[in-house]
Amino acid sequence: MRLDQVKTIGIMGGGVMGGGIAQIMAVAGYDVIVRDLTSELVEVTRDAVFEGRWGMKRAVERGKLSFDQCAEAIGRISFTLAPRDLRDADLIIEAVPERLDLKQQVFAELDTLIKPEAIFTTNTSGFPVADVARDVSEARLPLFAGMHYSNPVPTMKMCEVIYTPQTSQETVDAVKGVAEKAGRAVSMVKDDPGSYGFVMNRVFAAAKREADALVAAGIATREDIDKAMMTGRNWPAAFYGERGGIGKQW
Amino acid sequence: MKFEDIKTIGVMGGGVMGGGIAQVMAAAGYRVIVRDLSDELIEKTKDAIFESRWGIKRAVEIGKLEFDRARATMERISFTTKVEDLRDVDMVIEAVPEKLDLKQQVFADLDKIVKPDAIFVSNTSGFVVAEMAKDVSEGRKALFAGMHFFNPVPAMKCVEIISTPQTLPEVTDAVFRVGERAGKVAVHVKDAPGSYGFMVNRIYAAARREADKLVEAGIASKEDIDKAMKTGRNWPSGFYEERGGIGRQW
Repeated sequence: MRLDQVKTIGIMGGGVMGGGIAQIMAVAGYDVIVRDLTSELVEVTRDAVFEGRWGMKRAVERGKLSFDQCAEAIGRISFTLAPRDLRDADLIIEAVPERLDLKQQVFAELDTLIKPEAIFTTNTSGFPVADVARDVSEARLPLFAGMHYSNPVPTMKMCEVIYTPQTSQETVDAVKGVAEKAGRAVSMVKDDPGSYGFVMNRVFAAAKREADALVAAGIATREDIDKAMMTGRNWPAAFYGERGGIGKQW
Repeated sequence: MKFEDIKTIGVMGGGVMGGGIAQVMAAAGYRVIVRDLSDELIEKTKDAIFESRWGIKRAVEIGKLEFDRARATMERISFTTKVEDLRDVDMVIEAVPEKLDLKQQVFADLDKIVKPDAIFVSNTSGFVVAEMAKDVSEGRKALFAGMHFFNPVPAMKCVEIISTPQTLPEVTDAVFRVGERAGKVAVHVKDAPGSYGFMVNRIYAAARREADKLVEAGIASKEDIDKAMKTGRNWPSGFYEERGGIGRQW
């Protein structure tokens, strides 16, 4: 599957992350099918994509997207409860909850349903991609990569593209190309067995461990550490303060 | 020496940091005497304070400072090559080059010259404050603290206030409030023997070590790490790109 052959993207699991990814892909011109478990979850995702603070309509109101682009993008997104509705997708982006066994199970199932030449990617925050791909067929492994976004997806430009030793160059190029088409700043990351986190989360976690050590040693308070990193390094947010995230409102 | 009693500040060593500190202190209403080693160095410091990108004149031009306040600020700063001219200051901020033995020597000299109730602070980036105070009298050790500014001082809001077990609480409080009066966000740090760096530099260095490891292991390139931290965490800069600093032009 080459970049120019990717037309339809299947998002496995909506919510805040899946919804955000669906949004940027539809805006980039892809047809997008989002699969959620229940009609209630579909409504949650729909709300995030269309009505949310970082959703499409607000993007028009904030001057980030033209009215017509938004209207067209809305028309390119559809929702379903049936995984088999993704069977003709050219690229799958998985965004189910962050549990390795769940992701393995989801990909094993998708592997049997979806056309053999489709690319599979996971938006895991840090599981080794080879572990996530454990239960798919040998033939799918060259088509398997990681595609890690930062929340809220429509405003955070990062996309880490993770490749395993088995990921083909054509797949890497296609995944990177799709991300760039969706306005992302792509960083290439080599899958690292035995680790958790790619670049951003690992580097930030190392900083957080040092901050925790300073707190534990009584050298500084959490509040002062946050203040210092924000005013001494101009970080927009630090470790302990109010900060949005999955399950919290941005 | 209490906060209210501080009227005159001596800056020991000009340059980019000392000049920036002199500037923010004069803008806050303090009389400031800057001591440099030679007339040539004084000219450089003057240039930093008055003419540079972060200097007083530009601050007026970019709408950060009123014209009259700028003029009054400039009049509150004087320059000297003689250490003796600092003898009556209420607080000394040391900003000589980052060499421990040099700083120890400078403080030992100042201890004999400057009035006994004056507060001494060092703008070291990370030396243990108690070690810098090693050669001053016992009486002065109670008046000794760290006051770590960030470059460029007029623009970066953070100031780390470091206290040793011997620093009097009223001294820590006075230094903290001088920082706040100069428009800074002051944070408390406990002096940590055996370390280098207070909060910001230690935490940032931990993140940097992790980033270096990822590069070393071939997991990601320097450019891609910078990209991920900037677009995934909205950091204003990464680890490896061109960035200003002492000796470079911001």
